[in-house]
Amino acid sequence: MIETKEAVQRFLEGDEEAFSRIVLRWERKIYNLAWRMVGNREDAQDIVQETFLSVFRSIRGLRDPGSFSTWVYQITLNHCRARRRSRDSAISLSGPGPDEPGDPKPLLAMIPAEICGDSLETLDILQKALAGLSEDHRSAIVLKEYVGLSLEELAGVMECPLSTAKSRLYHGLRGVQRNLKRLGVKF
Amino acid sequence: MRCDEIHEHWVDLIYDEGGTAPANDEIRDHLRTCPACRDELEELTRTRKYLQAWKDESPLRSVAVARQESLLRRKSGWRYVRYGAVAAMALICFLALANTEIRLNESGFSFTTSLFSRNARESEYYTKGEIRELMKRALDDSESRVNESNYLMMQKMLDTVEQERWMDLRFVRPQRSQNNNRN
Repeated sequence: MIETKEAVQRFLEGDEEAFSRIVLRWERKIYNLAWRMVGNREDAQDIVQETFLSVFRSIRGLRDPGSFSTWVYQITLNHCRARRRSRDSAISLSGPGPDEPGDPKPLLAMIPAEICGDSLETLDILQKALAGLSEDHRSAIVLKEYVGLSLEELAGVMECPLSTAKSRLYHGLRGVQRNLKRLGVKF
Repeated sequence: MRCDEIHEHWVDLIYDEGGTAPANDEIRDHLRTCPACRDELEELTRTRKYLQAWKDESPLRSVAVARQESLLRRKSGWRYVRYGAVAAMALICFLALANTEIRLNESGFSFTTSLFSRNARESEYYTKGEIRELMKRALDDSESRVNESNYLMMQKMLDTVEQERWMDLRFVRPQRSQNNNRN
């Protein structure tokens, strides 16, 4: 499969089918990024389509095909933000919020993370733990932990200094840790 | 190094991407002596591990497949017509360049091509005198044909006039005799 940069270059030169290659290469990444950002598969699917529509419309304005990945992640995050704003996510922390006092629920209290694997229950807990984070902290966690960006790339996508990106990541991790504890996960 | 100072470097320690904080040794010394910070670092590392339980999955509906299908649909329609038109144009250009001659004889159609125009022999051309003769003959032919058709037309007209005159006479004669009798 040809590289994204080459596919973008070909598309800019008029090869319409190169866009299909870009879609083929990127839709899974975008879908999973969106799913973790909005916590809902249907919304994530819609975001994939909206993202590719935005990409198709404005790719001619992309000066450097090498920066396609940063650009496409930014577009996806913008669509995720818009989606979350327009529609309150159905996912909320069951039990007290991250900043509210209360007794932790005994959910999966005795099951260590290693054993849970990727069961539906674990997925549900993780969705709730991430849903309790602020937009910036959640983006930092998703881009670093799931998309696998380096710290430099993370700062590039979030358009902030490296130190800010690190700070968001740290506070994001702390937030997830706190929420998991509230949801009854024992460390 | 204090505990609040070390927190700034957690990310460098957890992700360890190289080129991290210069105070790395100091941080490690602090971790050896501070159980609270050690526990926190351990918990953050476990949090990361827990996060990895959320695995990637494939999209519900593939945009790429839908797009390729639409491209194929488009291809099967007008695109093939366009290809056909281009191929026909190319064929016509080739035939023109190759000086193609198409003849119909007793055995059917025959095609001959030559990439460069061949030099025709002198005997294949008419001389000026022959052309003049041919034109004269053609003109004479057409003139005689016109004269002949005019003659035939005049002849036909005279016949018609003659026929009508006889008809009139046949009608007028009995009338005149009747009038004479009345008088």
